[in-house]
Amino acid sequence: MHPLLFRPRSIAASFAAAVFAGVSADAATVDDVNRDNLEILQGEGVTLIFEDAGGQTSNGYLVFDEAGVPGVTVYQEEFSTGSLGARLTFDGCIMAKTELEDPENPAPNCRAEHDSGKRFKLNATQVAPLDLVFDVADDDTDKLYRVFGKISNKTAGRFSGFRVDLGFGIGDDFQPSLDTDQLALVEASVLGRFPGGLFGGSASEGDPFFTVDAAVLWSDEAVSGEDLLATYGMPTQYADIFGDWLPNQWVPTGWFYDFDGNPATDDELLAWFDGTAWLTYDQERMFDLLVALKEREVTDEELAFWRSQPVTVTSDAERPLVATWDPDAGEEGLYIIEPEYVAEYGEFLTASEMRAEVQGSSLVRVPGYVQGPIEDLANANTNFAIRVGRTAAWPHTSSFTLRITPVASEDFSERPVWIPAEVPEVPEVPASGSGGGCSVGATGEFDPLLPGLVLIGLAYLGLRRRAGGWRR
Amino acid sequence: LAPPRPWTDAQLYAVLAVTAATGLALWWYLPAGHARPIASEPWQLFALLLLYPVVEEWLFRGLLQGELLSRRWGAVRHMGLSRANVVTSAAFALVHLVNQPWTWALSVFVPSLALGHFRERYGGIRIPVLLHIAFNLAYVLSGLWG
Repeated sequence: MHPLLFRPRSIAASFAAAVFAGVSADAATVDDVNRDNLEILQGEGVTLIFEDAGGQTSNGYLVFDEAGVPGVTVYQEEFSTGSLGARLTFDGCIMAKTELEDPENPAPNCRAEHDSGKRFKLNATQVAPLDLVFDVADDDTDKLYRVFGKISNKTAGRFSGFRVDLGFGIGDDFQPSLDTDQLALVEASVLGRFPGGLFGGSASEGDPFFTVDAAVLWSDEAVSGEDLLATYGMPTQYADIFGDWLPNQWVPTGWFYDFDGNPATDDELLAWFDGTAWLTYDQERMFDLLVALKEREVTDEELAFWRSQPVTVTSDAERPLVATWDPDAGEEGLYIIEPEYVAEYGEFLTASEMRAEVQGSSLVRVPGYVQGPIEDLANANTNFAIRVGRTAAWPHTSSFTLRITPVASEDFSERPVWIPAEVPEVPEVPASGSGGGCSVGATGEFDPLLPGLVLIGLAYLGLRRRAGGWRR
Repeated sequence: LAPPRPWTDAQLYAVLAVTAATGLALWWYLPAGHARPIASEPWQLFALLLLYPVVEEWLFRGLLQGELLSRRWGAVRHMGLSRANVVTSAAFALVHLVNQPWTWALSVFVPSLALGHFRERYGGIRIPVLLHIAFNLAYVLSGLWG
């Protein structure tokens, strides 16, 4: 049992407080994300999240595209979700920066479709808290914000869940929110869910691949409260196949169909390698409704066909081949240019360079098959809302902190069978940012401090002996 | 004065009780499972539970505090604590700044005073080493469940 289970809260009370909160004379609007503990690496499309204002310790990062700096933003767009009886009306949302515009839609960003990139992408590199600070401004009424996020496990091992806290300050100075301070978490849906395109439960994401049922991160072990939402148990839909939440470095490889011929967009998963065989799942339908997925091995003919049909770019005229996508080339894949076009494009082009070449030209993208890691297996969507009321009782009246903390699995270091044993471990060891016991360093990496201390001690003994001060 | 026998030393039991209580507090306050990455790596576990306690106690309580205690200035006591103990503990906390956040580094100052006290009480580093192991064990245990 987790200690915080001793702090039960009424879910209904949270809902009621969120929906029926009355007008308050001194409430607040969430303005934007505070950047004091963020460092934007513009060229890399990454925003580091620090747990100290000095920028010394980072436990993770956000990712963003060109226009989405710093990777998370706040939209003031009123919208509702759910149905009668469980309907929630939000005053805005916290999500990735999409800047969508639609005159007929009052909430074009908060209500953006799936695959629109609306979820902010939180990459955890350590099993330690990730603190996002939000600035607030005075307002007359309480506000409720839906939070659209995604957590990606970029550590060296497995998770079993995550927890969400509200509070004030960052890192070691974080003060948890109190029940009385009118800053509260509200359940808006299941707390976490693995991608619907893989595990079902999402009609808008198309047919699932592995299971018909959704893989929901909410179990008997979960706790909920006004200032804490947490889950510590893995869904069987995921765990029965892969064990606990995989880190990105251990996800299995798969064959995908790139239906738009664009490596930068999502592809359709066709098969995965479990260490011994390529597996796929045949759909069983009843009146067009998907009712079951039946596992089978991929045939040699299927594999041969996929290998023979890579993603390519052709010239429009008579469709001669210009370039072939190689996902293993370079750091993130490269287009290999045909010899007769090298003078025009060079030997290689990245996906973004090819995008620039294709735009406004006669070049044509040709769909094809590609092999690569199933990165979505390291990701889970997060769903909840934040109610912001009076700020007078807050330690920092102008900001609050949303803290998301991954929970390490008891099988943290259990390598999946499809990872060959001889593959060297990534030498990244997640050490808690809040200490490591009473030792000067115990990260598992080579720590020069320890031999340094020993040398200092030995040098001291040597000097003392030389000075004739040896007393034993 | 002959050192007390450890199994009849009320002070030792008191420190162990505080250690257990601190472990419970860490279990409550720190993220659930925070020590699982450490516990899953035999080398890290060995370093945390044996290597660092032995090396640190040998260097700080054994050599540094011993050297300071041999000087008249260092042996002077204030509120039951020798100056040698206070200086050694300050150095101990400072060295922890290399690999730990400053709050955590500062927080080892008080346990270090306890270790220094028992070094003087028992005239050696055997008890401080065992206590240091107990401190680190409490930290690890606090992060295994949740």
